[in-house]
Amino acid sequence: MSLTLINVKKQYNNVLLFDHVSLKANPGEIIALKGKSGTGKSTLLNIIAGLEKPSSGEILLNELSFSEKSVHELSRVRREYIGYISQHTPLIPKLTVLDNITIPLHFIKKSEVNKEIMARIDEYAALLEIKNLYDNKIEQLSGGEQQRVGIIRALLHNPNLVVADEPTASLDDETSALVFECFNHLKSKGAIILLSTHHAAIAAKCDSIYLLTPDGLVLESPEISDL
Amino acid sequence: MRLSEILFKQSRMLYFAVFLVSLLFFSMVLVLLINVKQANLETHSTNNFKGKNLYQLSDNLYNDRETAYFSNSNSYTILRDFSNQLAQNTSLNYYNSIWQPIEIADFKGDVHFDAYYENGSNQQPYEVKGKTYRAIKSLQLNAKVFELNHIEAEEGTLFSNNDFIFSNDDSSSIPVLLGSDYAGIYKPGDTIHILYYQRPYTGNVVGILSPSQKIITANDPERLLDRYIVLPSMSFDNHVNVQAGRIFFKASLLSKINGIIITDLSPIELNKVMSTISNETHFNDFDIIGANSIAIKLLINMTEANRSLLLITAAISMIVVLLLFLWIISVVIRSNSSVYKVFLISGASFDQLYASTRNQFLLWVGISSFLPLFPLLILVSNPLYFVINYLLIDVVLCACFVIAIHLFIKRTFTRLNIVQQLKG
Repeated sequence: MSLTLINVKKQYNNVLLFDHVSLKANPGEIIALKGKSGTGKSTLLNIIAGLEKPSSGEILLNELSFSEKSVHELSRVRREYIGYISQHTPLIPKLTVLDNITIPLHFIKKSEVNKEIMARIDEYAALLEIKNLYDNKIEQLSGGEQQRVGIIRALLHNPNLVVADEPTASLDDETSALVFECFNHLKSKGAIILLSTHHAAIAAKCDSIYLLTPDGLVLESPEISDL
Repeated sequence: MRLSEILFKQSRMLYFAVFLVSLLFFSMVLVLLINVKQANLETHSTNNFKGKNLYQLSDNLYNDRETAYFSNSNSYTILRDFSNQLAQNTSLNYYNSIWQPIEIADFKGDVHFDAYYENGSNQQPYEVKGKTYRAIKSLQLNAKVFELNHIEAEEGTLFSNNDFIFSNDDSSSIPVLLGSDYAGIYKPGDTIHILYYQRPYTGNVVGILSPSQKIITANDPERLLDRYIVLPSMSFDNHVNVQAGRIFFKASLLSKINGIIITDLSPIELNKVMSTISNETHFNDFDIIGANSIAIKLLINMTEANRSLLLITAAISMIVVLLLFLWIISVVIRSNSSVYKVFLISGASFDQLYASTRNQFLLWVGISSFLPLFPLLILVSNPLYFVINYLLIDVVLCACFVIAIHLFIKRTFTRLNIVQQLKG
């Protein structure tokens, strides 16, 4: 599944945030998005995740056009194809780790944790080293552990596109490495990973790096040239 | 775990507050319904007296004049004709409420029902032919009193038209109505042995009056009937031999001509009408004096003011409670914002968020809207009227709640801007 952005524009109350944002991402690609604070990285990721509508422009997930869908319909796209990871992963404090991870099941009409899903959870939990924390309450976890719980929850439905807004901003280097290892694992399965980051080290590990400016995306790495 | 369960777990106390405030609101609705019914009844009754001229009719038969008058063998017939013409005259309402204790044999009630309990001079019971009699509060009312005061029975029935007509000399039974305080002591169908103007009667209880029933009387603009036994103030047809049983007929006839005239007629017009009746019946030992109309007018104004005050107070209280309810909803939504963020990034649509939040509140509203019915069913002996009306209001209010809660939730979510919060 490929992701295409064509001349995406966003403005709030006649104040332009960005315009002419175009991008083509192929399966198995990890793309880093850089930019100064306030340039609209999070907004662009929210638009790609179907949480917000652009002011104009087109977003295509394969042949699936976002502009023809309402925010309500986009939630169905999100729950089927997109995994969303935010900088400060929201979690439900009074639930256990496993309960938090399995919340998306409520929205994909598979409220039962079957063997296949449990195997997937185990796979990512092993990768991110939190397999022994399933029964812990969220309030008992460190910030890094909480972030990893949020990542597994975002990957529970095997998304084709992972949108990650500063996923490693509050993590130490060791945990950041674990998270990136997890992204590489997803990449090997053919998923597109689009992440925003301020960490040069994390960006360097990506297949391509784009700088978001008010006038669009500027390619920083030489590898991708076919835009 | 269901979504609603997850939401509930996060803010148990706040949901409990929603339930309590909702319960308070619906209890207020029920209390208002009960009070409005009573206020309507009172306003409806007092409206019958509004703008009317009230006159008190009083006979002049006392001491020597009484003796002289009753020495005439036609005196009873004259009094009967005079009272019947008064009752039949269409240009005025003849309103007859007579405060006259009756003696009851082996009375089951306590001292509260005794005739002179309120002024502390209860009479001792006495024995007649092996039965112990007590003087009990009683009013004898004509049909006009029932009509103008909107008297209602909680159990059984009111008097029929025939009950206000003295049937024959041989009849020893009389229908009686009991005030609401008699509920549980006597019931419709029971019989009580009565001495009414020294004449023995078997009183057949036909009904128990609704609580807080009030009537306007010449001496008291608001007489509460709860502790009273009510007898019909009977009229006597021409075929009734009023000469027999003199004490009974004398007392009955004298009490019948000491009533209130309620009319649109001016004093001069009324004098004209009364002169005609007097000339036709040959009875002129009476005076027309002003009734206690200031007190009655005051009562009318107070009743209307009370009703307005009740509605204003209830409206303000209910608006305050509703605002409190909406404020708590807003607090609940804000305190659950992290849960909504999780739901949103897990694939929920905003419509799903609205629905799960709305259903959660409506569940509590629904439960709390039915709870006030339970004390009503326990405390009110004949609650059908209130239950039906409350349920109708309940359905309308719940429909309003569905719309109001949905709109308020959408508004709160818009202001909360969860998507913006995800940006960190």
